[in-house]
Formats: sequence, structure tokens, C-alpha cells
Amino acid sequence: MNMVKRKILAVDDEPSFTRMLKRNLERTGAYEVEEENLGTRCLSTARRFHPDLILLDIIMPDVEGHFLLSQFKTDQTTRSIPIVFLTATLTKEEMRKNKGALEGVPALAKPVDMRLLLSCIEKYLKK
Amino acid sequence: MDLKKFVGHLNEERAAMRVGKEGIEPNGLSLENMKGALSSLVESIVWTDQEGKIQWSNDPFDCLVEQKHKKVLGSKLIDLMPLMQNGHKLPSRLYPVNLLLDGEHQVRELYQWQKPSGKLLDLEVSGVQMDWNRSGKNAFVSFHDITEQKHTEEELREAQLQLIQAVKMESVGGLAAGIAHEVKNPLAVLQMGVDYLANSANGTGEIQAVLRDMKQAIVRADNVIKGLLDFSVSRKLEFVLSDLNPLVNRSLNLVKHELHKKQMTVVTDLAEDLPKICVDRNKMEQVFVNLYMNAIQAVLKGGTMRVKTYQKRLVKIGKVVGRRKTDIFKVGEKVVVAEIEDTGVGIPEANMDRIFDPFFTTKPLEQGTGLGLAVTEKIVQMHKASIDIENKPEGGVRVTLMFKVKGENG
Repeated sequence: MNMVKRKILAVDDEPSFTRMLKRNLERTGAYEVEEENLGTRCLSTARRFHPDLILLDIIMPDVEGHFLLSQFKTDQTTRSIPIVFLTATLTKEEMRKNKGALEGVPALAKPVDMRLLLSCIEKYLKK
Repeated sequence: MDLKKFVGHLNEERAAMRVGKEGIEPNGLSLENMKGALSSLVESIVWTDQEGKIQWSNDPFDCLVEQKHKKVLGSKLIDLMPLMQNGHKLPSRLYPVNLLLDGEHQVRELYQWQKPSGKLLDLEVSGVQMDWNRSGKNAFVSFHDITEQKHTEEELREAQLQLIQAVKMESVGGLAAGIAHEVKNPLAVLQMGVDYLANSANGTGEIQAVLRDMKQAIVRADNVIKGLLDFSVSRKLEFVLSDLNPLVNRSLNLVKHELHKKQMTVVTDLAEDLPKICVDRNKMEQVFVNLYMNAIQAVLKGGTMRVKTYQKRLVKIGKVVGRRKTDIFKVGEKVVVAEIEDTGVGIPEANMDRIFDPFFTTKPLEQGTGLGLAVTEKIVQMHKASIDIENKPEGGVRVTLMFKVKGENG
């Protein structure tokens, strides 16, 4: 049976990281990944790509992840897309203390284990 | 009237003094007049005869020594006020009155003296020697209580040190946070890459082993960064009044998996009704987890870890117990104690001085970053608590944590 691939938008200023994400996720056969390394461009990318989930970095040189979050959440076309923060600003310990969320948004600390990432994606993927 | 000016004035006029029937009458100033003037001063004043016995004292002096005037007169000053300097009893020959009677014209020095009621005072003692009396030399001594002033000065100095430390930590903290972010991003790329390769079907056993080593190295680097952040973040402490025992148990719960893996026995002996202590619960849990992990890693399979809590009153002067302002605990203070003992191999004496040094470790690479005890000590210090680590005579290590009890000597 040909499964419909779920679409993931990976937003991070580091191309090597989004590239690795794409390779790892697409190899499972379950996802199609679009990379976006420019914060300022990611709203238009999301409008065009219609992802089922967005992996969002927080500290980026051109624009803050929190600001992008508010953009996604106020835009008609993107506001229902689940978002998972993928960030180097918190330690894993702090993340555990925050029960895996940052300001109500699910979050994972970098460096992240693939198994953990996959289970998180499956948990929050748009139904 | 300022006593020093007054005494100076007396000294200047000593040549002009004529001896009356009571002894002294400087230029018409009668002894009675002078006594009256001295009585109204706030400073404590006495004069003694050539044997150091008190001939006269004013009210502030009697109050200071907590004695009736009748008892004061005729007593030897050194017996009423045995002075100390730097925590040691001042020998008789260096006692200010004796210095004066031995020929010094003037003395001025800082001493400590413990009042009969127990309070330790800092005193500025100044005195002059006068031979205005037919019966021989007199010592004229004043005592100025500077305890409060010294206390304020010390508080100010401590506040300054804390401020400097805070500024330092802030810059180190900022730096560590910056480094953490910059290092974690490339680590994340590496981790993703290793995961990708590890999941490739064509990897041989040897390649998989190499990838496992790489993955472990990434985890280790991540742990070092976490340790660095722990080490530098000090401003975020949130103190709450807590019971120690639940904290001890919660931390034990966090390492139960490790305890189980080593088939260890845990013996707890937690005293009931311990007074509450002021702690940042998360940070203190981290301290206990660090210490438990050290114990677990030190013992052979099937070893034992003992955890004991109790309260006690400090009676002996020790490394962190004393009477000085700089001592964390004061003699007589009540404290809450936690002891963690293991049946491990103990710490080689040669390493004892270095166990708290950042990055000092004897553990295998994948187990230790060398930051555990450094962070632990730092957190303990921030709580104004103490940590002591020693080898037990019967083998193994004992860690002793002492905590201040709320309301005990600040």
C-alpha cells in the first residue's frame, strides 16, 4: 500500500542540520521534508508547502523563533499546523523540568536522538 | 567631650599639675570635677594603680563588665577583662595596662573580649600612663565598643565580594550560555549524521562499533556543556523553606535504576522532626544525585550506601565551625546534617586536595566530566552550607553535608 507521506517543514539557520534532518526523516519513507534556513522566508514557505508539522529553531540570526511562532499562529493558512521547538538554548535537564514544553509549545533539546525526535513528531503530527 | 582630646589635654597639662591632698588637681580642676566629667562620657573609662587594680571607673564601664561598682573597685582590670587578640588570649605582659605600667606612655589597639553573659565584643582600647599620683604610676584606660561598626564593615565587605562574584559569574554565565549554544548546534548535526549512518543497512559490525563510540562522544560533550552551564548559573537559585528528608528520598528515587543495576543495598536512617532548612530544591536534589552517583560508581556490585540525617548542636571548633565572622557555622549553633556513606574503594589520599577541582576526574571517560563535585561544592557554598568528604577508617567514603537551620544565628 502506498502510504501518503506526511509533510515536515524544518526551520533552522544551519543548512547542515536541516539537511541531516531531511535525510533521516525521509529515509523512513513516512515523511517529505522541506528545508528552510531563512527565518524571514519561512512563513511564505509554509503557506506554499502546507506542512503537517513544523520543526522550529529558536535562536536564528535573522529572526527569533518565538516571533515566527506568533506569525504562524496568527496566519490563517498556518495557524492550525502543530509546531515543535528544536533548540540549543535549553539543556535536556531544563527541558525535563519544563515537561518537554516551552511556553506551551512542545520542545526538544539539541542534540536530539532520532528515536526521540520520531516519537515526538508522531505524537504531535496534524491528524 | 572627646576622650582622646581630653586625655591629650591632661597630658599637656601634666607638667602644670600640682599635687593636692587627694592627689591631682590640674590647674584648679579638682579630681571630683574630673570624675564628674568622665562619668558623663559614653565611653567606658577606668584608671588603675601601679598594680593594675582599678581605682576608679565610670558607669559605662561597670555596665560593660556587668559588675556592681563596689565589685569593680579594687579588682584587677586583667581579671575583669581578659582580652583576646586574633582569637587567642592576650598574654599578661602584653595587656594594655601592663604595657603602660612597664613604661609605654600611650597604647591604642583592637582586642576582643567575651562578656560574662557570653557576647563577644570587639573593643578599641586606648590608654595613657600618668604619674600624677604620689602613690606611683597610674594607667588611664578607655574602652570603645566597635562590635557593631566592625559587623557593618564586614557585611559591607561581604556584600562587595558577593557583588564582584556576581558580576564575574554573570560574565562567565553569559559566556557559557553562548558557548553552549554554539557547540550544541554542530553536536546536533553530528548526532543526526551518526543516527543516519547507524541506520544504514550496509554497515558492518565494526562500523557500528565506531558509530557507537561516536555517539557516546557526542553525549559526553553534551554532558560537559550541561556541567559548564550548571557551574556558571548561580543567579537562578530559588530558596524555599523545606524538609530535608523528602528531598533525600526524591533524589534517591532518581537514581534507583542505577542502584538496581549495581544490586546495591540502601540503608536510610532519617531522623524525624528535623527543623526546616532554606534550599533551592532542584539544585539540592542535584547535589544529592551527584553524591549518590559517586557512591554508586565507587562500589563493587552488591555494595551498600547508607544515608543518614539528623540534627545536632555544634560544640567543637572545626574546619567550618568557629567564633569568627568568617566561619560558616558558629559554636553553639544548631544544624541539620546529612551523611552519605559507601562501601567503595575510598579516595586515594593524594587526590583528596583535588576532588573539588573542575575537570578533575578518575572515572572512565564515559562516566565522568570532572564537574560533578565542582558543581556540588558550588551549590553547597551558595546555600551557606558545608560539605566534607573523608575516607572512613573501615574503608569507603563518608560525605557530610551541614545545613543552617532557619533562625539560628542568621
